[in-house]
Amino acid sequence: MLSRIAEALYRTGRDVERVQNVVRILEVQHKMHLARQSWNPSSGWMPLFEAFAVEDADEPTEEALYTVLVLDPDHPFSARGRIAAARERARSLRESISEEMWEHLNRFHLELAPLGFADIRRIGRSEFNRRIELFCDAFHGLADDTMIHGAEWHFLRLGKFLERATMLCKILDVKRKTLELSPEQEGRPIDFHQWQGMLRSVSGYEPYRRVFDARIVPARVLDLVLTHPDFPRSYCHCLARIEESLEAVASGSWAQRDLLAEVRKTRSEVAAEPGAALLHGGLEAHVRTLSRRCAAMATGIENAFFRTRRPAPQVTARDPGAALHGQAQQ
Amino acid sequence: MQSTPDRNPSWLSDWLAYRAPEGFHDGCLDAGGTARDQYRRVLHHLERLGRDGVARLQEDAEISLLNQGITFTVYSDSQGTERIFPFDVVPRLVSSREWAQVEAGIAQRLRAVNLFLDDIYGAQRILRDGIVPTDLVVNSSFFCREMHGLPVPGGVWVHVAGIDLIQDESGGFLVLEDNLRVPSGVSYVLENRRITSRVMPDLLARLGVRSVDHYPQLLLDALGSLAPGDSPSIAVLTPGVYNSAYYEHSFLAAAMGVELVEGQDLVVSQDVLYMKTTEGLRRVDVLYRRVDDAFLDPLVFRSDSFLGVPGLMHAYRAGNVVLANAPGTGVVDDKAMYGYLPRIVRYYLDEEPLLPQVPTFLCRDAKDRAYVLDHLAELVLKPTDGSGGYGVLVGPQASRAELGEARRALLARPEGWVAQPVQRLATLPVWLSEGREAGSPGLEARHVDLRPFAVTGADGRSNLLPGGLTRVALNRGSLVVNSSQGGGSKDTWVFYDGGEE
Repeated sequence: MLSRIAEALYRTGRDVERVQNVVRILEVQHKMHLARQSWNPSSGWMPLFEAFAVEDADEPTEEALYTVLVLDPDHPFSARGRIAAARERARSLRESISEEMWEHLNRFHLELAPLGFADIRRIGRSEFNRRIELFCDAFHGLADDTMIHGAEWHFLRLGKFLERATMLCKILDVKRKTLELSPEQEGRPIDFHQWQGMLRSVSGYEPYRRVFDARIVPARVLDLVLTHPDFPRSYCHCLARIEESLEAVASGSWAQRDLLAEVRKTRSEVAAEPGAALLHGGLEAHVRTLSRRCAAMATGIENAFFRTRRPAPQVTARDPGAALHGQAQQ
Repeated sequence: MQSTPDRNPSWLSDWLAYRAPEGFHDGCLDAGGTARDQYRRVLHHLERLGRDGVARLQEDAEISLLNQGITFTVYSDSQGTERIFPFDVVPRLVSSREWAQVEAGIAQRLRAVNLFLDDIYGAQRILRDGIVPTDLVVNSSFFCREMHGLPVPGGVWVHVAGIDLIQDESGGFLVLEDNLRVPSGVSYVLENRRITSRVMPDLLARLGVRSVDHYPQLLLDALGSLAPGDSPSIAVLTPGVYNSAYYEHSFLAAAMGVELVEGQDLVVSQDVLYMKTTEGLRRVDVLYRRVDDAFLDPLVFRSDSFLGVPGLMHAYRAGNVVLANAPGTGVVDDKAMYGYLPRIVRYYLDEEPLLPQVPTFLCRDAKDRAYVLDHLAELVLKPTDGSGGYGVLVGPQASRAELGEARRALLARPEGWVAQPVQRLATLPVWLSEGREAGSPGLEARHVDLRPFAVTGADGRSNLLPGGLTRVALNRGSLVVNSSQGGGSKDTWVFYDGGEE
């Protein structure tokens, strides 16, 4: 497959996944904000400004955040920007993705493009967020159900799961800052909301209750989002899917083999680290490592599949003399 | 040529009747207003469908086009709106006898064109013999110095040609324009047929219409013949999704089962062309490029081009990749060169041109220029290096100010202009659901031309696809058929020998 096409599919997977994560975080924060407004009006939004590099806002308000993270046409984390980019890219992917995916993407782009914050307020923030989340879910669903599960699908999927793992690290980092995790603070009333918010930020609240029970125990939360093999948004689950796709698109290059070995190693290391061990000061460093590994995987994927490499054997011109000396080369 | 109404076959219902404008050839009605034999079965078919049935047919066809995404992008629209290329469901019919003439004429013309290109980029005999003025060739913006002394496989320079034909008052075909660089439109030929075969399959089968859907195979075979080896690696080079013909590029690549590449997908290393794939670099032997010469290689042509590949011409000159069409064929597209085409045919082939063409006044020539200046209001003035109908002045329809403007432009650069008599483009009936002169939905005459496509491989034998793009000037009375200027299209049905009987 052409590197350009592979890269476009990979970036599309990343973009759609990113949009969903950002919007889910906004939604969770919106709900928590409503719950806590009575006693701490400006709380909660600040870490998001830092996490998503939102600058030029006078005040860390929800509207400022929406203006950038949803409506800005250029910001790298903005829903509108990412969906517009994915749709523009999809024009050259018409032969690679299904008709249904194109239509779905095109329609949603056209719906989103003209909206302003006033429109979002009119629609209702939660309803608006839900529409974006549903769009993303449906896009991935269409990819799974209407595309051949060949190389094209695998590159799309590589993007989706790598972005999911990357965003998980961001969410963990934001929450860690809010919790200011320390043995003394653990167990205070605010924790329950924050840990629940973390679960909701990765659609994990319901799965948590089914796997464990309604009692929220921080160590179990970390186990679910980091190591649980069957929770579709856990770090280890994402890496397992990345491994599958890397194996499926085998080109046999050294870069690819190294990359695959790296992913496997990271996954086994993360799986071996119980959540309880991270609660006493180790989480920050751990999350930073996981985040660095994601960045390394992204570089590894780019190098293995998208960047030009010189041809292995030195190829010489077929017969330069003939062409220059008047003989047709047939 | 009877004009008595009772000659009109009684089965032709009133709602199907239309009037052809006087002074033009109408493909369907003769001068007396009677349906020509070969159209009877089509009209009869429409009659059986009834007015609502035909309207539904037309609607079905349009919906099918929209759903398939057979659209072109309107550049000026910031929303990037994609519109369908208007399609008319009533087919154009071409008899096997007419087609044989067209086929022979185009084959002859292309044979001469290839010899001419081989000559001007080689020994330049025709220039030394004074048949064609040297400056017209070497000063042409399409003349490609880099091709000098470079042989091309089989001496074939033009692998894909789109020749625009019109019919004169007597119905005879004339060549209006040669498109020998990167002609587009063939995907519409195939799509139009896909639609007619969906909405009127029985009629198509009953009439014995020659098929066109083997075009991708024809093209693939021709491209494959240009490189040695059994299965050369072939790719289609597109300028990208913003090109108005992107749909066609993607369609042809998919139909041939080859990669559709952009300049950024290609790299030249050690004079060999490669495409960048997820499995590493893969060699390309034949590049069917849908990018103009000027943008092919920033090292040789326009240095600001991002559409091409640095080093491509080097790889080409080294004989490691074949470009189709060869660079430099645009010299023949030039409207002034068109005026010399009959002489070129006679010079190389020692034959009379089988297909006539439109008389052309070359404004570079003092005598012709004087005539043109005297008769500007009766002529069509065309820039020699224009295409797509841009910059064309239709004398009889021009205002006094426009004529004055054109006169100044002509005198400022006479060699940049040619003039031709206004062509009395033939008409055909189109189905109008609304906006018809008579009010209710029905047929109305519109002016048409025809662009058939010829594919030529290394053996030099031209294969003319039996069909072609019939372009329709949809505005009443308009003679401009270009899609950029309100044109639509029809399917073109060429009959098998004896099929029309």
